[in-house]
Amino acid sequence: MMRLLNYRWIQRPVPNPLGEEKATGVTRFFSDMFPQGCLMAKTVRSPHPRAKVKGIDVSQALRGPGVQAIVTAKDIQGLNAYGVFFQEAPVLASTEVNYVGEPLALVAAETEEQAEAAAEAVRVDYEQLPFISSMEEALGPDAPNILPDGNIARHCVIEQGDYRKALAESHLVVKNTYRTQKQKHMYLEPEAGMGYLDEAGVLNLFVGGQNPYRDRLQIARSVGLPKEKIRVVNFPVGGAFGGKDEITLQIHLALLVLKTRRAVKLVWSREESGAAGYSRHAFKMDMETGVGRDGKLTANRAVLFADTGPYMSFGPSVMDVAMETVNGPYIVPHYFIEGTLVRTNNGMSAAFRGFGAPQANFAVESQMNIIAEELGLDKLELREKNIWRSRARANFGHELGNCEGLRKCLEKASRSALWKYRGNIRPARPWLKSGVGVAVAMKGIGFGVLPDYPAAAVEVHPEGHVTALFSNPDYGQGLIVSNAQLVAEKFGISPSLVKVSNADTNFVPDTGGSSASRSTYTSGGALLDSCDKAIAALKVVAADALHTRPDAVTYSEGMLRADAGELDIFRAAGLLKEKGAPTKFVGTFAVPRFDSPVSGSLEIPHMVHSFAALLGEVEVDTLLGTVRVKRLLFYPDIGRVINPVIASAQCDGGLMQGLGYAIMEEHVYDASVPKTRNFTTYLVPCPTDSPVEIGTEFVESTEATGPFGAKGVGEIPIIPVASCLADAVRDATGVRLKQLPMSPGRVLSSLPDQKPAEATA
Amino acid sequence: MISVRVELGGPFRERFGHWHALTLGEGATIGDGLKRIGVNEDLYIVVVRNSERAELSDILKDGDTVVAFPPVGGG
Repeated sequence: MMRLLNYRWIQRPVPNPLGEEKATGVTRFFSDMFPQGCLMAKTVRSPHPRAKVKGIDVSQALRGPGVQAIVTAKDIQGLNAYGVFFQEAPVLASTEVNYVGEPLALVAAETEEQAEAAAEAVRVDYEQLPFISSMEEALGPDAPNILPDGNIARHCVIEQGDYRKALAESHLVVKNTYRTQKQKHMYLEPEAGMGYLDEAGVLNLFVGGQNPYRDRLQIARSVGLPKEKIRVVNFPVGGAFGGKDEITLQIHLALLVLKTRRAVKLVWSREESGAAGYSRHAFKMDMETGVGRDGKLTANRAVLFADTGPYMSFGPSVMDVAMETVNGPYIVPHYFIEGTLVRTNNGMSAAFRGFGAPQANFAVESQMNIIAEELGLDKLELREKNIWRSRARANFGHELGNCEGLRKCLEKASRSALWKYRGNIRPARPWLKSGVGVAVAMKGIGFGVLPDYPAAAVEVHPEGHVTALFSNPDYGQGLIVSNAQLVAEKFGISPSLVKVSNADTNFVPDTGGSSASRSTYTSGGALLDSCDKAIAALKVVAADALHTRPDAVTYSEGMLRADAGELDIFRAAGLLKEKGAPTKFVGTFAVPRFDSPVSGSLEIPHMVHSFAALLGEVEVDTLLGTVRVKRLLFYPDIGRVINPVIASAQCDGGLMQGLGYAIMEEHVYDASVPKTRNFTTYLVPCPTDSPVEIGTEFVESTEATGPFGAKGVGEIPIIPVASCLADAVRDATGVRLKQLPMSPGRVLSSLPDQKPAEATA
Repeated sequence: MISVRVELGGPFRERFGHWHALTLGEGATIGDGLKRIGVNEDLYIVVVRNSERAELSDILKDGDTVVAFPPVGGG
């Protein structure tokens, strides 16, 4: 049970009004907007994984009924490339295409049907080229280069000590290869947006994204407008999970609006999202882990390969996170970690909840479970021997902060009845096998050593409310409510008096985006700073009104008090306004960074981490190969919990998304052609796949640098699920799967031959 | 003359180096300082002065620390 400290509004289940609005269909997402006179747009896409583009003929398409404009690369005034880190992906391809679904042209017409017909009438003359459909092919000696710099997009080695000697001297060395698959985000709302030019000539874009200010700069860079002439709004978004962190259709929409000078709406179909949307990177991970007789890890050798598709996008960051995760939250004295980001023609991989952490966690936690089995140690006890300790020197040379929560996660898991009595579970039928698994997880909060200076604001209105302004989009996490609680707590007023302005470059400061489990940590930090600045200014004006000095004014629960009297913050804000002084206060927060980034990486290491332990119970049908997840018991350390209901819901969602990743989800490519483009072929967990029991018990923990001690919860739930369930399947069947997903076919083919007579007995 | 320190972050670090100590004339802007070290990314850049968001056109003061980086992301 979480203890309530002396807080009025945080650690409380303040209801999220957006939840009811979304569940009842009241919320209007961008794809639900149908402004009068709005043109409808469609995208012309490559059907080939790799081809030379010899020409694009739009003449016939332009003559189609209702067609108002066709945009090709020739219309791009600025940079015909996008990418958060490296600008490799063309906004519109003009000379070559490198994946099925790559955009070449855009059509705007009066109706969706007219736009679709015109898009089909655009003639593209292709010369098909040899394509690369696997990492092995890409690295082969005769492979054609997808881009001129070769098929290795990024390569990094991090080494400490003498891993060869340490492995040679280890009591036990466990060596395995792990493979993980591409996963799709499958948000309820696909990539969508609507844009128009206003009377002042400002380009207004209402679009599903995760970082409005960064999107704005990427748009400006390509369309050649100053950023001040572009407004990006990212709220409300119907799900993102990282898939809308990079540019999707923002620049396309901008190009169409600028060419037609009319309102334009562009919504990807589910099939387009399936083909041209981003995926989680597939990984191959060769692991060699050594341990001493005492159960202390001695060395780890991890060689990681990731399929990033033809263009890097967030690939470097995904690989960095995988490399940082592959030692786990454990002290490893000697290690060699090599990461290679490989180009293929298998569509673009980019950000996805956890970045590379779920992949690397599958490898390292499977290794830990195997080591425990080999040594005859309790799996949680093995972790306890090796976990990070507070303020110890971490693997990457930096001093760790408070890791006490990690130990508490292990303690809670080890005390649970499921773990204590795991040997007592008896399935109902002889062909069903039950098992319980365990895994531990870590996830850095924010961007590691990358600079991160979020800004946010509060505005105190004389009319009697406060507005909290921040740009991290709330695309379902509940940030609108939890940030209102933070501001309410700081001011000592009811959250009902705190309104929120979210993710609109016209109205809110640049807090950065919603990603990397950073939203609460960064926007909360900047909002609390803005509250401090507001209170300081209100004290000054109150002192003037009360004929005293500012330092003689105290503040609590919305009231400014001095010996001579008192006034509330709204009255004080009115006085500020009468004087012509600002009532809006911008606060900032400098995210702590390590001075010395690991050479060759962009963001290793992180300074602040969330942690978790997860227990999972499965029932494996040895006749069908199906894995039924019966229980998921989650023990996370996310720092101070601002809103337990919202945080638990985040955990439920992350665990279910992890369950899908573990046992059913796979974005399949056949000869570089995506085969799983919709919900018919791409399976995601349904209510019937939900465990009988799914529960989260937060450990008590506070992060000194976080708002009221909070860290982040967005990614940590998904990270340990696959490794935990693989361990549970092993416990049930004796077979440990080292490739995801653990689909029925893969499970069945891994089991020892069943004797029909026994199996049906 | 004024002395300022400039830190470059993210991919800028690989292209332009990590830290620079600059001496500039009075009235120099952040943009002027960045151009001195080869950073001429007018559009796709975030600048921070003494931990507060700033603009390229802001006038530098002696002792300022500037951090410049493309608007990155990550996990």
